[in-house]
Amino acid sequence: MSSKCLEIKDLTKKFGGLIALNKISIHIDEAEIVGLIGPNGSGKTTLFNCITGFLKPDHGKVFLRGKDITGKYPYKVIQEKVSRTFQITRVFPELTTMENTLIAIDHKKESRFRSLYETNSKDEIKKASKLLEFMGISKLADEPGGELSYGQQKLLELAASLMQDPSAVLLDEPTAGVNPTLVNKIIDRIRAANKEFGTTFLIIEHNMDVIMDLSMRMYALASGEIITEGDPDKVRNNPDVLESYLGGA
Amino acid sequence: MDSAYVLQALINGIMIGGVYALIAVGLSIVWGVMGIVNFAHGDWLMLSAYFSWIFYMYAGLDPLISLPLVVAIFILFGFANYKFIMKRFIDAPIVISIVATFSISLIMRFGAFIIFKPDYRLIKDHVLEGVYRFGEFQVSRAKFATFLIMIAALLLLFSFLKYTKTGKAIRATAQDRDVAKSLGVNVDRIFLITWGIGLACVAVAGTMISTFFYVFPMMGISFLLLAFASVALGGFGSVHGAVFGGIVIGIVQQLGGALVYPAFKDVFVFVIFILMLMFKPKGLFGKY
Amino acid sequence: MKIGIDFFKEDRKKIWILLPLLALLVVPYIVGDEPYLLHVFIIVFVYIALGQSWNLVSGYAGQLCFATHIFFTYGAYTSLMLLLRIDLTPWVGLFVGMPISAGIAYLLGSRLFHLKGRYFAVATIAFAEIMRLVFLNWRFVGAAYGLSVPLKGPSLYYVIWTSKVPYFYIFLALAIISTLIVYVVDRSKAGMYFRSIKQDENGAQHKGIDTSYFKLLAFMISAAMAAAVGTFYAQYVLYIDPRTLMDLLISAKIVMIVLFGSIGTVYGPVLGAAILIPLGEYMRIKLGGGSQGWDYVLYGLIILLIVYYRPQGVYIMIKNQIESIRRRTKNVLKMSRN
Repeated sequence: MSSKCLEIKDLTKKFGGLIALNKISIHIDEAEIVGLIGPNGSGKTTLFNCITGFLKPDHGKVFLRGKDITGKYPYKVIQEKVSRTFQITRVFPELTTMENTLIAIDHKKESRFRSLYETNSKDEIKKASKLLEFMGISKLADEPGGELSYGQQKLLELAASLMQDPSAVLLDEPTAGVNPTLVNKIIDRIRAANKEFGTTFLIIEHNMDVIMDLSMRMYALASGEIITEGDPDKVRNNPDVLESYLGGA
Repeated sequence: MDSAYVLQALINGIMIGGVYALIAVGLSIVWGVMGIVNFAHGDWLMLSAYFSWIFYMYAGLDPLISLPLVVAIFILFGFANYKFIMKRFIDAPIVISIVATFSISLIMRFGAFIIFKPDYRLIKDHVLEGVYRFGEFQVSRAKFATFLIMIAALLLLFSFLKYTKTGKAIRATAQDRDVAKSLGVNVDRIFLITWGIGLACVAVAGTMISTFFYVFPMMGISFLLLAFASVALGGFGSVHGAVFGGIVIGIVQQLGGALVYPAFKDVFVFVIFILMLMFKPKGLFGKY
Repeated sequence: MKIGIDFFKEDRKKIWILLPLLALLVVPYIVGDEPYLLHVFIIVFVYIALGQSWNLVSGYAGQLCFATHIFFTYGAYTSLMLLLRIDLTPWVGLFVGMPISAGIAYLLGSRLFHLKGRYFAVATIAFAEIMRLVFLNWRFVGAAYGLSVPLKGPSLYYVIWTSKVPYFYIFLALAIISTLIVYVVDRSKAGMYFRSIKQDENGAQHKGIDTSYFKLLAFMISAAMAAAVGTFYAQYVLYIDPRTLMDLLISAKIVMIVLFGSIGTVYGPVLGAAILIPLGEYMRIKLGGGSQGWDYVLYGLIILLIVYYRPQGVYIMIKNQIESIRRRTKNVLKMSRN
């Protein structure tokens, strides 16, 4: 019986009269790769935003390895070792690839005041280099983030997300807008990270092939509610799920 | 301190508030449509006031008559200013655009200082001499006429924005530039026109101010800061808000000065300004 | 854990900095006690120090502040008031002014930092103007009459001399220290965090960075630095008043100088001040005499040109030029070898 890494209980988020998330309860076990699918507007990104504290949920709880992190400030949630990427890449354009990775270290145990004169330790730099190598973008280490191709930025964000040995990584459409060769590379690296580092992933994806390939388990979201969960094939072929994609909201 | 005194201050506040409103509208429309904070806004006002004075001194033209001429000139100035300078700074980082307009402000301010010397100029013996009296209250004819012209200008502008095709295009651009572009709006032309409008507002205000206020090189700054406060109060990007803000600021300034401490009349304005920014950064009607 | 002063590791480049520094140290002896020339140097140093202070909070952390001159004034007034009231030496008054400035920066920042770019900038202007009006009418600090430094010199205790030479070295030290602070921060982790906040604050939060803390930190250090300069400036000009010191033009000048030099770099403010201040003085003499209009007009023109054509600033412009020349010569050499 594997322990629960990320647990969301009865999470509800309303925007005025609109119920964006309605009593969402999901869980992700350690070292699992869990997929989250659903049509546009079903609330997937809103769910991510509620987990990371960017939005405060109206009801419900978020637990990370048993610890209640509901509604904490984003930087605090991230410091609890939850990494999160965005649908559209969000690389710091004027920081180098290496800096973009180093900036994602574990800030919790860092002395903020001392960071005024301290530089990154040799270990941190070594780790960042290893991650860039793992993603295959080592030669871009000194390039400004803004000059990387879209796919390279996605790989960079993936590398950065692993920097703090995260308990959970939330990926929001990691292959969206990326050319097919790089898509395969991204899938490959996510699986490799899961295998080699035991990283736990919760992934939002629109590309069915990708998410079917990666997920061990899947949730389907529609209109703010979980309509089914379980084995990827089962979920994907569930008539309600198909209906939600084809039919109205 | 009797109620008549307070009411007089209130009247003065509303009168001058009309001026602040028009100036604020000019500032706000440029801010809202183009995202540029024009630090030279007050100095264009100063320049138009000088033009009015020059026309009076050397051509004997009463400001009321030279008004259309000054406005026309400043619309052209506005077009030139946009086309040759400000165009470059659309979408530039804020520091850059602020510094750009600020350096223009410096050039204008000290240029005026060199050309006109720091002397305070005044237009005397014009059509608007004298005061209107009603009961215990009085309003100088010049201020009253100014107020009427401000209202007229504002009504004209609002009708333009609401009913004309260009006006609608301007509002669309302010809301969402990309959508406006995709609808076929020539955004560059809209910017040009908007900048012209901004300067036109200031030209009207400046010309009329010259009928009751001193004209001197540094006069722009105080009006600029009051315009900022008005825009903050009314809400950035909202022209109606700017009008509201202008009138309120005018009242606050005059009442504050009359009731508390004359030297502090601007402090009340700035305190409101900073409080608005702290607690209601969108202003009362704002969109940002 | 490392301290990022690996200053002497890149040996060759540092000559460009060490030589001018050594030259500066002997300037008073070469120049003799030429008061006007020394004065120009001193003003350059003042603007380098103030520029670095602004550079830290606005160039690096990206929070556009137009109230640097107010913190500068706080420093001046605090130490001078202490000197006048309890005969306290400015060397100690310095360490009262800095924390007070930092404290006010904290209060201001914590209330205003949720504002975005333009709005924060405009709010600092409002704050600056409120302060100016308050000081102009506040009898406790002399209101519009200002404060005069008691002429108890020459004295180290009272930080007052008849010659400009000791002031030269004090302000040189301030310029060096402030540049050193920015140098250390520039290569530190915090420097990277500041830059990330400037580029994408929300993104930085999502990397686990406490952006509020870092913004406040930058603001407080900046305020303390400006206050330090203010303390000694009071002792130099011997008379301070709200009209001269709390003039928005001072902050405007700081912004323009740093922008001209290259915002967000260690040497930008140095270059900016070193070029523009003497230029301004020269123009004032040549073209104005009494009416100091011309230097501001030309200032405005220069800044407008830089911002129009090379907004990245002179320092980066020169660096890029050298880079491209180096690359071109490398290519030429490569081709000639083949």
